[in-house]
Amino acid sequence: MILAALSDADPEPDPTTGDLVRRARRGEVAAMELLARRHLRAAYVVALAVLRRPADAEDVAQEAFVVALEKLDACDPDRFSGWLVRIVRTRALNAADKRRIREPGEAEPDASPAPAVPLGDRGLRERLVAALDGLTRVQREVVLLHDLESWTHAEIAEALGLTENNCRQHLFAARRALRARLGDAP
Amino acid sequence: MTDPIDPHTPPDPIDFSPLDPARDAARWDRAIAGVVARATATRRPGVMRELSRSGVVVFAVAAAAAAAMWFGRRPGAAAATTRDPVVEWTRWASGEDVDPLSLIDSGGVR
Repeated sequence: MILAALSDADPEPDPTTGDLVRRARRGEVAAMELLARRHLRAAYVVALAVLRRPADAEDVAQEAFVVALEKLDACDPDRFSGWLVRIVRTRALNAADKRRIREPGEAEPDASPAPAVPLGDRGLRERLVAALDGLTRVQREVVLLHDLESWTHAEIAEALGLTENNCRQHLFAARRALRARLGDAP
Repeated sequence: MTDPIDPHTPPDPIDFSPLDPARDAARWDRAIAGVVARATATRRPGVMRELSRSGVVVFAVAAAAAAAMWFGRRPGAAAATTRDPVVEWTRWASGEDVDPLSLIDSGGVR
């Protein structure tokens, strides 16, 4: 009986993002780390949607996340995702502008291998980046947040300032375009 | 001939795993640790700012106290606060209104 009661006892629930933001504001390093674990990849996805270069996107995502952690006091804890997306997008757009100045005429996505990706995936990775290049920025954001980051339509809509229906339409169009470009893979 | 893409059926999700930076778990862990380390390092000056802000208050109080002490010790102030027994007793003798306690305090000692 006691054992059954113990096994039925709920484990400590995962803290919400809002709770983590409040704890991180007080300087709790563990909360900052959990926030990064939950949201750094989303930051990367948004940066990738703008920059279309995985390596650049990683750099910008990390820089933007550092800035976000520094400025946590300015954030509504319960709207962290949308706030982070805006920071990342602004920094990514700035980085894209700088890149255009630095590399005039350079518009192609980066096809260089990233050390994080096994060599066998290189071709697939290049094809994905090239296929993404044919979408609009919002379509890229929606499809990457949904299919890579597993965000719901509601979460994406709130973070990107879209309606859920709009979000579904972007996802539909993005997947269709990607399927047409990629053929049977991936 | 039919359209290979059905316009009404949502296409299957795209497998973006080759673009997922978290696939290399060790590298991703290092990236997260780096972000947190940079953020905590730059948040520390914020703490220092808070300390310096309270330091300004402490400095202002100390400056006010020092000014009060300095003005309290200047010669004029000393003359004003130190009672000359001769003057006090002379004033008493001439019928002026003198605080008896100040007479006792002066004690006739010069």
